[in-house]
Amino acid sequence: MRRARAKLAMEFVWSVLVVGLATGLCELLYQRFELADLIMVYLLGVVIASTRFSLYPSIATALVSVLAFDFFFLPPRYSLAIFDPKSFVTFGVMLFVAITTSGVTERARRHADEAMRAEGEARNERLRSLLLSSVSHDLRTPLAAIMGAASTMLDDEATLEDATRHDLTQTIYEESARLHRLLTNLLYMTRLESRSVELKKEWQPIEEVIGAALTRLEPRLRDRQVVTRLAEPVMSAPFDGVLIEQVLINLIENALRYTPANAPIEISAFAKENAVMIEVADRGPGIPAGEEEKIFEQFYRASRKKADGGIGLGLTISSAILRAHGGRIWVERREGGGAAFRFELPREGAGPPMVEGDRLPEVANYKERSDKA
Amino acid sequence: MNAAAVTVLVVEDEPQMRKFLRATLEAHEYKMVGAETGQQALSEITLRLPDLILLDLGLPDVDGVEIVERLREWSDVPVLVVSARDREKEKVRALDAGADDYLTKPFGAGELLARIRVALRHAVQKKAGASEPIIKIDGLELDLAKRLVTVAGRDVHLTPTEYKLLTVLVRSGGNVVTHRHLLKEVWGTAFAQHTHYLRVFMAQLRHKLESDPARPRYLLTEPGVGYRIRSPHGG
Repeated sequence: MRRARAKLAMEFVWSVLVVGLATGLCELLYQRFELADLIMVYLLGVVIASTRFSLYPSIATALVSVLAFDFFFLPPRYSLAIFDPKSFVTFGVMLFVAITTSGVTERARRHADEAMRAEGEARNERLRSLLLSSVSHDLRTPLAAIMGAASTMLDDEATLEDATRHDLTQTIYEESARLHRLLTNLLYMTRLESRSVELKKEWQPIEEVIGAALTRLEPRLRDRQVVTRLAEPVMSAPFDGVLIEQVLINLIENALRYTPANAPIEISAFAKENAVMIEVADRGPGIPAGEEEKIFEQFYRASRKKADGGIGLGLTISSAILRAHGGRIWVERREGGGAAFRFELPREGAGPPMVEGDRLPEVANYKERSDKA
Repeated sequence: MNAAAVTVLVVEDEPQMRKFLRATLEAHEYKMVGAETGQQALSEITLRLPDLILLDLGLPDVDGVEIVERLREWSDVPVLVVSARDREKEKVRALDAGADDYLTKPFGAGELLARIRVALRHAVQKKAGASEPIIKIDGLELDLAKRLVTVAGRDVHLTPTEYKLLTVLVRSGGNVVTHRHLLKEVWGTAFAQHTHYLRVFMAQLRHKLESDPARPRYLLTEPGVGYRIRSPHGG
């Protein structure tokens, strides 16, 4: 709304500038040309203005043009004779040109917008059906394993050996965990895309959200070497803790899934001038050359053939979460092998006031700054 | 099942979930009573006086948070709320209304039983009016009488605010404590919204107590909700 108003104001300013330009040009031509030719120069200005501006700035261009022509060139010069019937005719013509031209351009612009919207809708429709088919495939894989394992346990209850029964139960548990991870990402994805998810940005230490993600993955990280390296002890940035935790979980799970069990996972955070950068690095096979960007796209499946039960949705949703924060995510090759996933969270604004010593500042003088933070 | 078994009221409208919960609870010597709606839950509570309530927040008839509020007018029975992963707001509302802890769906039997143990133990302590004078959590030792904190036998100096923060968490015995509740307890009602301060002090505390603050052993974060101390009894 405010932006539309600013744009309109700019158009008015431009329309005055166009008339000024026309007046300057006419001043140069005045000696050698007829008055009627000068009017043509102004008319040209009106046409140019009305192909670019909306209706009211176009009308303003016409009006100011007539006034300028009248004042500067219509004899007696440097005086206004607006009641001269000739001025009325000039104004009428210019007004007509301004209104029709701007109407025609407006219509053309609307058509273009509509065409673009229609194209966007068609694209969304295609993406949706692609997502649907992709997701149903990925849901079916773990479901098939669960159903198979459970039916064996039911049908062959009497003859199953304990070890087999345990294996089947294990399968059911692991595959449902996989289903759950897929659904969690899918849920965030649809909510971010429909913009129904509200970012709850709060200044918080990076260390804390890393800790939360590691705690949540604790059972699966038990036998893994995890190294954490944080440049500053209490480095903060404004972000939605729940969503950034999800990004970290996705990256760490990726590392778990694609790298051998004895390879360490390294998590680091660095302070940059206006951002913090967090890195999850592994010693796996790395990302094949040329696929560094594709892996963040929707429905990308890693070309390394492995039954991993993901449609790369984890990386896609991570990328969407970072975009919503005004940040970005990318992957780099590591020296000595492996992949380093990095993301950046902007540290805009002054941030919350510092805490001094053991006490909190008085609530009264803190209040107004906290609202901005 | 013996006569003195602990009674757990499960308020859940999904029959498959009730089946899973009954199997798990009864296998661990709890007595389970089921309720499918909020109305049924409220009458079962007055009738059976359960020792613990497992309350799904997504009930068809009544807002689960409302049940917690009404219940807290006359009862201290521990309440564990169950809700989905992306419903932090709902969890916080239920906790601030007086629920003791939460479980995020889907959860495994191990997590469920650990939460139940923590909540029951905490309830017993609260009723007794005093907590143990010395609390030990995996190398961290807190002597409430002498106001002494040690990690692996080494004295740790805490500021009064850090100490207060730690005791509020420790007194909750492993139950989650919401940001709001911590701020109120440590700094007073006027600060209930200033979560950033809490985070800064929490980070300071972690740096004094944890060997790797980015991989905490004692002070755990529940994003969007609050903090909890790792259960003293390894739950």
